[in-house]
Amino acid sequence: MKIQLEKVVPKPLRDSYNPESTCWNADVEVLPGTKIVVEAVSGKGKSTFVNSIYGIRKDFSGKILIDGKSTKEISIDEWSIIRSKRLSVVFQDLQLIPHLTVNENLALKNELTNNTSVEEQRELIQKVGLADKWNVPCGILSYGQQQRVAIIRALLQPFEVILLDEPFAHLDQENSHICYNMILEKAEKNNATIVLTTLNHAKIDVFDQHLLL
Amino acid sequence: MKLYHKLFFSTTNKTQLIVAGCATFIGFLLLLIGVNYVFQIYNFRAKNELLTDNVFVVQRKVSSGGAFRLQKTDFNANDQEFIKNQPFIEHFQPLTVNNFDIDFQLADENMPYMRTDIFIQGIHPEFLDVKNIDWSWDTTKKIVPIIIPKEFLIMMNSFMSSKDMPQISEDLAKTIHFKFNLKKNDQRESFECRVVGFTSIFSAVLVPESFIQYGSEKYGTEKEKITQLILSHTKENFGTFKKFLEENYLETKSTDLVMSQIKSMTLILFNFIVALAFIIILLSATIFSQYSQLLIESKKFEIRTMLRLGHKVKTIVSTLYNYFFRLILIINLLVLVTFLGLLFLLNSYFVKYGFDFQNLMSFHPFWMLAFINFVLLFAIRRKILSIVKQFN
Repeated sequence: MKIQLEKVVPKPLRDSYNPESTCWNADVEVLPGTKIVVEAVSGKGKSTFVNSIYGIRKDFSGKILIDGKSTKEISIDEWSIIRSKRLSVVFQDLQLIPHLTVNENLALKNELTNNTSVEEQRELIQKVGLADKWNVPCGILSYGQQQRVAIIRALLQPFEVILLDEPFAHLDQENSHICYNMILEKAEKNNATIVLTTLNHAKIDVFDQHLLL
Repeated sequence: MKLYHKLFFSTTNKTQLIVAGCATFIGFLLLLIGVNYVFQIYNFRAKNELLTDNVFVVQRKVSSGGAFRLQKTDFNANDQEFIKNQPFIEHFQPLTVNNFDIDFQLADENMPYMRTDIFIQGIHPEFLDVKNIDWSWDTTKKIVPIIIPKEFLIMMNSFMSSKDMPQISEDLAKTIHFKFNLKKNDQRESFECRVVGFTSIFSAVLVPESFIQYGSEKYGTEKEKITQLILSHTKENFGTFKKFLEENYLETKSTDLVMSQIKSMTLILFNFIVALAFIIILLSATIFSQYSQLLIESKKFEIRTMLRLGHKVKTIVSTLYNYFFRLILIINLLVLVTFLGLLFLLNSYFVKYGFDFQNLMSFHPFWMLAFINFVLLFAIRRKILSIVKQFN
């Protein structure tokens, strides 16, 4: 999957974006199989960046192209194919259904492709220390626990690009490490691109490309 | 499916849904009953005199002065114009009567010989209470169609019964050969005639108007007088019509007036039920529509998340739509069961009070119910689709 940004400026940031930004109002190409970190302080549009690429936000000038087609022209049915088979995401606000259990939240994603067996799902959940939460509604988990569920949910589907919007913001160092390795492993297996937004400069050296918002 | 059901419906407030369901149930049930009986009554009208159009034969009231020829008994051109121009008069026609000598003869080999002078009236087919007959005559036709009063047949049969003679049914009467003999001085002419029906409105033997005209031209002896009028009033003006008759010393059969009152009231009642059913259905459809909108709005987060995970709009719409479809299907089944039960109960009462509708039910309400269901489900599906698409 080839993603290109051509002079993109979000309308709410039109007058306030960072003039030194290497992303806003610039031409950016997300190359297959690369690891990209997008860094910015709070309020400079990290979630806007992810949501715009993911087709949720359309309030920007310029163009975002996925395989040469503008995200504004992609139909709702085409988005459902892209989102279920090619482009995965971990939202900053996680978007888990609170009254569904951990396994039901995972099933809701996995039933689109049946890409991962229940055993594999259980194994992933166990790796992030949530084995005993399998049948617990997500709404009563801590935010850190929910973040781990959201990361695993994003890894259940096949993907060419994975967008991660501050995925480790509420995780301790150990869990951040475990989750990052899981993402890396899956991405390498799929030769997929990782696009990660973050507030800090941690581990910037492991990324191929560094964008500043 | 279980997961979708839990996702959308496990935490919804069911009160509004129950209200909408109950309203729909009542609306559908009233509609079925109302429409069924309106159609039954219209079918009944075709076969029975109770609910035929508001046709009256009107004449002047005869007092003792009339017996001594001191009182006017006919309607001149001015009288006719005055009555015709009343705003509540829907149809007006003078009743033409024979002004020539005519006798009526039983001309059937299987029946005893009978011959009598007779009084006949010509009538336009529009005013006949006998339908689906060929009511035309001209000199090329051998047989003159006639309609005789039902009362005449009843009177005949009472007489036959008292004399220990076999009675004549309506069907049998239609097969008997009769003859009209028209005469003037030495001139004579005979016409075969056949009973084609029986009237409850008129008290004379009826023939097509063309036969009266033919007789008047060829055998007429004096200028014809109009002594009776056929009138019908507009449906909502029964009271005004009745008052007009009283004020102008006109009369009609009192049973006709009572019947007219009953038929007006019956039709008003059933039309009211149908109108009420439509209002209830409209209200329940609005509640359903609002409920579906509220349900979708309350599940905005779930729907949006599903779309963002990659679920298709079609899948989400189908899940929500199927829920309403199943609900409406259950309501329909309950309505049908209740309707059939009520139908048996109501019909037993109708039969008890002399309304034998012959068929238990008409199929028209089912078509109407199917149509309303289609519209309701279509509207719900469109609403769901339009809202879900906005959430992407």
